[in-house]
Amino acid sequence: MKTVWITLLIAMSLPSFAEEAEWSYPKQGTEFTFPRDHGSHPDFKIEWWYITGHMMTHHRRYGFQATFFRLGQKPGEVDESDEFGGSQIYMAHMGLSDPQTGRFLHEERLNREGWNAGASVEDLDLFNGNWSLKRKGSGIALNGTIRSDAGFSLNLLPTKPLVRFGETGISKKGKGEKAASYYLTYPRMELDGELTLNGETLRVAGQAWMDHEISSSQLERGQIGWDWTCIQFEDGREIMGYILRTESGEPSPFSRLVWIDEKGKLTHQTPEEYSWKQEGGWTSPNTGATYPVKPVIETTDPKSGKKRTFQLIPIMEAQEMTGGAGGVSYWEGACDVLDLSLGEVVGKAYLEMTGYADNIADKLR
Amino acid sequence: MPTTPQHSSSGGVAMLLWRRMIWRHWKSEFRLTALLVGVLALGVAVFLSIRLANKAAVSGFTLFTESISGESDFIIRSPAGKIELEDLVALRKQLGATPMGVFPVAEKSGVLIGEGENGLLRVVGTDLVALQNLRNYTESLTNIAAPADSPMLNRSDAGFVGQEFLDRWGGEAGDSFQVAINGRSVDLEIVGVLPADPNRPEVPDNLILMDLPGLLEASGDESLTRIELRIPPGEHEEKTRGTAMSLLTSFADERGLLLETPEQRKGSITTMSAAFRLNLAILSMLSLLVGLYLIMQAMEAAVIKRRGEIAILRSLGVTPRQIRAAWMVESLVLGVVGSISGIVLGRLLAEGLVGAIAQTVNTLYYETTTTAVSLSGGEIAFSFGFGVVASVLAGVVPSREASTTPPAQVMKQGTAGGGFRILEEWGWGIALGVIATIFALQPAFHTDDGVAIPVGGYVASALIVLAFTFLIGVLFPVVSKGLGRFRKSAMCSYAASQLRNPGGRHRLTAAGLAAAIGMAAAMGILVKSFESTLTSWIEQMLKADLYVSAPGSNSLVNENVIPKDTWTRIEAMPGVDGVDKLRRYSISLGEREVYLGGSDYHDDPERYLQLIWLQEPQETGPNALANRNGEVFPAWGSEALQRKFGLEKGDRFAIPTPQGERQVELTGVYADYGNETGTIIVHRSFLREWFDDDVSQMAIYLTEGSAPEEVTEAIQREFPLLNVRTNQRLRAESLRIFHQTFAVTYALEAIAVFIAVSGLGMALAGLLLERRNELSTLKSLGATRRDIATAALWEGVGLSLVGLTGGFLMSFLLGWILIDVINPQSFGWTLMYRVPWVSFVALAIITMVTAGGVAWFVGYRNANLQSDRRE
Repeated sequence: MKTVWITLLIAMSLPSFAEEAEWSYPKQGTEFTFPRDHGSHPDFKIEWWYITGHMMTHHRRYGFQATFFRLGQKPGEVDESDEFGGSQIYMAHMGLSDPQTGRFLHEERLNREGWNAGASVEDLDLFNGNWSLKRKGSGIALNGTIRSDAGFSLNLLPTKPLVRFGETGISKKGKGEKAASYYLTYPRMELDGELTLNGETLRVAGQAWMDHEISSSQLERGQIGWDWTCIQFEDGREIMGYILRTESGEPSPFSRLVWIDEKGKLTHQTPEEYSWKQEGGWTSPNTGATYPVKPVIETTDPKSGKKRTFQLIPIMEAQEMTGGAGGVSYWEGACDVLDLSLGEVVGKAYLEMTGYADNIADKLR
Repeated sequence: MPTTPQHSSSGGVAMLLWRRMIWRHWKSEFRLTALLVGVLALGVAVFLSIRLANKAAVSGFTLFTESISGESDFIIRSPAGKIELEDLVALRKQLGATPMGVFPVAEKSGVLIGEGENGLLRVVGTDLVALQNLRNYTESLTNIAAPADSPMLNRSDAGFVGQEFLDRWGGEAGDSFQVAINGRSVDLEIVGVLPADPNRPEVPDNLILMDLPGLLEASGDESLTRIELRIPPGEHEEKTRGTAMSLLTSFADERGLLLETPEQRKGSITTMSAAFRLNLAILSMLSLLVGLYLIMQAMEAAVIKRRGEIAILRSLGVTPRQIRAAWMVESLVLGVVGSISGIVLGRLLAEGLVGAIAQTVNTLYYETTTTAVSLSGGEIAFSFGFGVVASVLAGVVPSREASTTPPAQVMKQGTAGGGFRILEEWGWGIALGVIATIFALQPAFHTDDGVAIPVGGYVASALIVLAFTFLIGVLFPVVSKGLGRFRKSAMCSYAASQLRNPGGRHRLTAAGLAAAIGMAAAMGILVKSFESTLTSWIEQMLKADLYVSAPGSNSLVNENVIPKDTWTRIEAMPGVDGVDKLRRYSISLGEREVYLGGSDYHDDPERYLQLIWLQEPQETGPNALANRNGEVFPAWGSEALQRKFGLEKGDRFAIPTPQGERQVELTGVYADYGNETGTIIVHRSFLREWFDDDVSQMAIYLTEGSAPEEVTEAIQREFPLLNVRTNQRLRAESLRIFHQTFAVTYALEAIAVFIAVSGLGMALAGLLLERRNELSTLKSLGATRRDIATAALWEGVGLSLVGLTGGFLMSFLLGWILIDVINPQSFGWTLMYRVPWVSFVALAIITMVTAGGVAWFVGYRNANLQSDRRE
C-alpha cells in the first residue's frame, strides 16, 4: 500500500523537481532578521520546523515530537490568498511516547497550501489542519493532536539564545555547492501546558528543543541516511550531533557534532573528533527495519578537554514513525543520556534515525 | 414404558396421513403439484425480486455520499446548493485545534462531447492532497495513484475514472476525452483508474474524479457541493465528537448551512423516490395474492377429491383434528417448497429488474448506480415467511372443510360445490365494500421523514378485491343465461347449466381471475389517466417552436446549464423571434429537496403561457411574478409542493439563496406533472440577483416562416452540447420517458394474468374430475371426446367471462382509489379519470381465448376418465 502513496507523492512533486535550477540555496554571509526569518522561505525547496521535548508531571514522563515540513513546488511562489495553492505542500508529523504504558502514538499528514495548511513569510506562524506553531511574544505556542488519542497545547519559552549551526554560517551536508542548509536552533526551551491522554488532561512542564532548517538539496548520492541527536545536559549545555551514513559504511566527512555552552557558544567537531557507534538493535514489527537505538557517542568535552563517552538509552524502544504521509519511515524517540564513565544519567536527548527502512536520500534529494 | 406405544401410535397415524393423504396424491398428480409450487414460487419470486431490485437500484446513491471520504461522520451542505470557498476557510478556523478530517467536495455536471444524453457525466472534485490523510481515519483505504509522468495536482484537464468508464467508452489510462464541464469544453486526460473495491458500490461508468481546484477552474464555478467531515478514531473520539458537534452546529447556523449525517442526507434524497418504490413493492404482492386464490382453489379441490379417503380414515378412528393437521401440513409443505424455489427464482429475476428500476429512478429523481443484487438473510427470511404464511392461510378454509364434514356426507360421491360456502354470502361483499369506502376516504399516513403513505388507499384496495370474492357469484346466473342464449348447442347448454348454480370452486376460480384482471385493468386505468392528463398538460405547456436545454436537465441533481454567453448568442440567431428562459436549482426546504425555478415564461403578452391552475392567483397576466411586495416575493407552487408542505395560497415562507433567506408568498398553485418533487416558481429577475444568470432551459419562438429544423441545425452546429428539440420531438420524448416509467408494471400485470389463467385451467380439471360420473353418462349418450372438450371450452369461456366482468367492475373502483386517493396522496398529482377501452377489449380477448384454449385442452385430456377412477 505504501508504495502506491509514494507514487502519488512523487507524481505530485515532480514538476518542481524539473525546475531545480531555480531554487535558492544557502550562501555564506547571509544575515537573518527576526521574527521574519522564523517564518517561511519559499525560495527554498525544503524547510522544516522541528520541536522535540520531554514533558513531566509529578510522577510521569512523556516524550514528544512535532515537525512541520514545507515542500516547495514552485520556487518563490506563495499562494496565500488561494484556497488551493499549488506552490507548496505541507507535511507534518506528531509523535508522543508514553513509557508508562509503552504506547507510541503518532500521526503524519499532508496538505496543500491554502485552506488547510500554510506558513507565514513574515513570522513564525504555521498551521497544518488543526496543528499549529506560532510565535506568541517571546514564546512559541504549539498545538497538536494525534487522532482522537492525544492532544497537547504547549507554551515554549527559549531560555538560551537562538544558535546558527555551521562553521561558515551554513550547515554543509555534502560536497556540492547546494548541498547545505541554514540551520537555526533554540537548544533549550522551557515548556508548560496541557496534555490530554488516556482520558485525562494533565498539566505538564519540561524542556524542549527547536530546529528550523532551510534548504533546497540536502543529501548527496551515496548518502543513505543519518543518525542524529540533540542532547540537553543537566549542566546547562547541549550537543547537536549527527553522522551522515554512506553506502560505503563510513560516515560522510560532512557529519558534525556541535557542543553548545551555557551562553550559546558553539564548538564544531568533525568526524575525526568524535565517534558514533551503532548499538542496541531494535527491529520494528511494522516495517521490519532494525534500528541501533542505543548508540554510543565518544567526544571531547570542550570545557574540560577530556574524552566523554555517552550512551543514549531510549525511554522505550518502539518509537518508529511508520511513514504514513510521504512514505518515509524513521525512528524518532526520547532517550536518557548515560555517561558511561560516571555510570549515571547526565541529561535527556532526542534521537532520530533515517534510512533504515528505505533510502531517504532518494526522497529528499 | 407407558408413553412409547402411544407415541408410536400417534406417530404412526401421522405417517399414515402423510402417506395416504399427501404424498401419494402429490406423486400421482405430479404436474398439478408442480404447478402449485410453481405458482407460489412465482408469487414469492416477483415479490422478492422487486424488493431486491428496489434496494439495489438506489443503493448506488450511497457511493456519492460516502465514497470520497469513506464513512463520513458529518456533511455540511448549503440549502441553496452551493458552498463558497470562504466558508471552507472559515470552517478550518472555527474548528481550531479540534481534530477533524475535512474533505471538501465539488460535484459538477458534465457531458462527453458527441454522446448526447447518453454521455452525461458526474464530475467529482476533491482535494487530492488532503485525501492522503484518510489513512488516519480508516484502515481500509482505496488508493489512488497517478503515474509518475502525469502529475495531477491543480490540473483542470486531468482526472481519474473507474474501469467501468473505460469499459463503456473504450480507451485506457493516458487517453484523452473531449468533455464539457458546466458547458465548458475540456480535453481531459485520464491519468489513472480508480481501483474497484468489492466492499463498495461499483464506480459509476460516468464518474470522473479530479483534483478540486482543477475542477473548479474547469467548470468556472468556484463553489463546493458539500464538505465531508470525519472524526479521527481514538480514545477520546466521543469527546471529540461532542466538541465538533457544537462547533459545527454554531458554524452551520451562523453561515446558513446545513449540518447532516450521511444517513440523513441519504434519507432525504432517497425519500424522493420512496413513493414510487413503495407503489412498486405493493404492486409486487399482486401475483402472490392471485397465487393465493389458486392454492385455496387447488386445496379445496383436493379436499373434495379425497372425501372418500377422509371418510375411511374417520371411520378408522382418526380424529378431525388429526385430519385438519394433515391438511395444514400439506399447505405448509407446499409453502416451504414454493417459497424456497421462489427465493431462488426471485434472486435471478432481480438481476433483470434492477437495471429497469434504476433507469426509472435515474430519469425521474436522481442519479444512482446499481450495486450487485444482494440477498441478505433478512430478505430470505422475510420472503420465506411471507410465502409460507400465505400458503398456510390459503389452507385454513379447505382444511377445516376436510375435518368438519361428517363421514356420512363425505361418503356420498360427487357432491359438487364443496367448501367456501361462505362465498355465497354476498352480504359480506357489501359490508367489505362499505368498510373499503371508509378506508379510502382517510388521509395519508406521514412517516417521520415526510413520506406520505396512502395506507387507507391500500387497505381499501385490498378490501375491494376481497369484496369481489363474495360478490362475484352474482354474475354467474347472468353469464349462464347469456351463454345458453348465445349458442344453442347441447354442450354449450351443458356448460351453461354448470354455471347456473356455481359452487365454491367456481366462485373461487372466478374471484381469482377477477382479482388478477381487476388489478391489471386498474393499473391500465391509472396509466391511461396519467397519459391523457400528461398529454393535455404537455399540449398546454409546450407552445414554443423549439426547446433548448442543457444535457441531463431532467434529473434533480444535474447542474448542467446554458451559460449566459451561450444563451445570448442563441437569442441573436437568425429566425429567433423571442426566447423565454427558465433556470432551475435544487434547494433544501426543511429537510427535503425541491426545485426553485426562475422563469420569464409569463412576461410577453403575445407568448403568454397559461398554467393549469388549482388555486388561481389574483394576478395571472404577464409580469405577474415580477411585482414584489416590499421584501416579499410572489411565487407559484406546484401541486406536489402544496401537498408535501401543506401549503396554501397566501402562505409565506422562507427559501434559502446564496444571498441569505428570502421571503416568498405563494400566490397560486398550478398543476405540474413534470416532477413529484415540488417546484417553486419565482420571476427569473430575482433568481438572477440571488444566484446567477445562467439558464437551464430555453423556449424559442421563431419568426414567421422560419423552419424549426433549420434553426435547430444552426443552434446544434454552433453549440453541439445542447439538446435542441422541436416541439413535436419534445412531446414524443416526454411520452417515451413516461412509458419507460411504467415498463416494470406491465410485466407484473402479465405475470398476474398468467397465474390467474393457470388457475382457471386447474379449476376446470378439478371440476371435470369431480363430474366423472356425469361425463360417463354423457359419453354413454353419445358425446365424443371432442364434445366434452367443447363443453369444457364453453365452461371455461363462461368462467372467464364472469372473472373478466367482475375484474373490470373491480378495476373501475380500484382505478378510482389509485387516481383519487393513492396518487394524489403519494405523488401530489391530480389526474383525469380515463379508461383504456381498447386495451380492455384486448385484455378480455386474450384472456378469453387463452382460457378457452386451456379449458378445451383440459376437457379433451380428461374426457376419458373412468367413472370409477378415484383421481
